[in-house]
Amino acid sequence: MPPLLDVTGLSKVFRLRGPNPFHRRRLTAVAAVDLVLAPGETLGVVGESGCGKSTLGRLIVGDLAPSAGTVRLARRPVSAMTRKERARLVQPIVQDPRATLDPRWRIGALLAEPLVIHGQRNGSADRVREALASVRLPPDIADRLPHQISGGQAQRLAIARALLPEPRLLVCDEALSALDAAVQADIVHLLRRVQAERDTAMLFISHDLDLVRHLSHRVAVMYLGRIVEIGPVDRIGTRQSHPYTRALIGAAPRIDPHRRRTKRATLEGETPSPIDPPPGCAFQTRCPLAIDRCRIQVPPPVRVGPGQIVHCHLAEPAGRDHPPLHRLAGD
Amino acid sequence: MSAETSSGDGRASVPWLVVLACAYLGLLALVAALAGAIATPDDLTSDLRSRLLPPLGFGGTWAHPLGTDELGRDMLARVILSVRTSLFVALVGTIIGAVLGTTLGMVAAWSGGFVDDAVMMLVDVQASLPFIILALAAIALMGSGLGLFIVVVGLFGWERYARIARGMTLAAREDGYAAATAHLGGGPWRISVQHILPNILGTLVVTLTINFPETMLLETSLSFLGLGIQPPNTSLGTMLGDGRTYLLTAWWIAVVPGVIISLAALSTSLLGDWLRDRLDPNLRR
Ligand SMILES: Nc1ncnc2c1ncn2[C@@H]1O[C@H](COP(=O)(O)OP(=O)(O)OP(=O)(O)O)[C@@H](O)[C@H]1O
Ligand SMILES: [Mg+2]
Repeated sequence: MPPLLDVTGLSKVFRLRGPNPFHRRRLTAVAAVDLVLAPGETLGVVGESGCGKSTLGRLIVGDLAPSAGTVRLARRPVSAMTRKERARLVQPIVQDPRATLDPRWRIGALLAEPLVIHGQRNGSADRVREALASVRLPPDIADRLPHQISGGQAQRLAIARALLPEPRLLVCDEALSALDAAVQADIVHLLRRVQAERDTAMLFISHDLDLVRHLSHRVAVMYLGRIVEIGPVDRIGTRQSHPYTRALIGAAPRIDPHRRRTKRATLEGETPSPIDPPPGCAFQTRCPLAIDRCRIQVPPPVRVGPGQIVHCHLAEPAGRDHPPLHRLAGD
Repeated sequence: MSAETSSGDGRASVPWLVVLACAYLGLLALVAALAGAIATPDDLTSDLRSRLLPPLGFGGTWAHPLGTDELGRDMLARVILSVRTSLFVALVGTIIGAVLGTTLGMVAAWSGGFVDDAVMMLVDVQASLPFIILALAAIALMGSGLGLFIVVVGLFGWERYARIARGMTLAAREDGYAAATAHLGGGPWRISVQHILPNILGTLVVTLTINFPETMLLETSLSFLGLGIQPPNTSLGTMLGDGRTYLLTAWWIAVVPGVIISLAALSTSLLGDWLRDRLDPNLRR
């Protein structure tokens, strides 16, 4: 099956206004990202604050223009699409859905808006009612104003609205982070059902590793704008994983009897600034395993297992005995 | 004022000052609308035998309730016709400024780059030059027709709307509902007209109510200086100008139009304050 989303060599460099107006500093928020996503698939994106997750999402939905590389949706570059074409392929779901709702518009009108934009005015009242029902909102909510609904209802509404152009990809950026656990579970259920019914792909950006694990088929781990590891969810954090992934997952509080014996990799030091990233591997300044090569050369992608790709000089291609990662980690 | 209206149930009760202001502005509007029927230029024939008669209550008679001016013209008829002229010029002028400024501001925000820089430079130039000097120059160069005069008055104050519209458009575009409409496929036109404009309308109306009295005063000043409304037409400004020389002997010639203008300016400001509170959706809970 051809991928729905195909991202190649994607980079975003922001030019910052600094003290010197003639020399603008460059902040690399996303660097040389490659990824593909199949229809109906969910890719979780994790990484610490400021690693470029949101920027990646904004590049994919077309909010930002890439500094290099391309984003293709259904084989066509997003940059070459009209607004409406793009809207029928990808929709964002954000953390604060209420901010996306015009405070002066009634819920019904807000839901009808995508239909009006796409010239589907006929029968829009029925479609609005269906849309409300599909996210389990009562029909009478259509007459209310955005400030008259709850946060959970607002998120359901935002999802219903985003689904009306029938996009094939949802980019959810911390979409559940502002909700309490019960509402979160509710929306997760909703997203799952939508995905099953429509074969919608999802890019699920979140800080919540457990949530990502729960919802994703595959996970991408970002560090300083780069994807350092991407692979099936059950292989993330295993022994073949990138040192950063293991530190990240080790840093998250988890109860896991098997992990108690192994030495937990913890992160030391500060994350380097994306304005002045270290040469070679982005993680080398904090990596407990770093060797000389890590300080010189950007590590190439290495396929360490089925569908699992790690950007690390120490990673060994799948199939070899005694990958040095294990030895050095002291297992 | 604002504390009174924004506290709780401002929905039911309209402050009495606002009611008064509305009543006064309504009266002015009514006078302006019916001016042609109440008074005609014929009422302005001069009658030198009845020069400088005082208003009722100051020794005047019912024949001339507001007295007469230096040429013996009936002040009431003159005031009525002047209100019409002044309101018309100020209203059309304010609307020209508001529409022009808002449009330029929104266009600047959407286009960015050179267009944005050019508009903002114009804004800065306009804001830094004393407008009345520019108006004097323009009228001196191009003559003193009513049309040109209205356009000149209309150019006054556009930069405020431009600044506000640009800033708020940029802010609204950056995140939130405008971005959401764009994601759904809506274009700049839909976003500007259907979403941003209604949301910044409150601020624009407040600006308009601040600008309106100033525009009225500009009309007055220019007419006072003899560069605005030309005889035989009459405006509150020309009346003020005429009355200046008689301030000590026949104060009513200047004071009557002066009071009308001041009250109009005050009423518009009161109304503007109140409207801002009502139009702000964040206060409408
Ligand atoms: N418009 C911008 N201009 C300049 N720098 C930016 C801009 N947007 C983001 N950045 C920078 O790019 C880097 C990545 O930001 P991004 O918002 O993508 O991080 P994130 O992974 O989403 O973080 P978080 O988890 O806190 O949301 C950060 O260093 C941030 O400061
Ligand atoms: Mg983010």
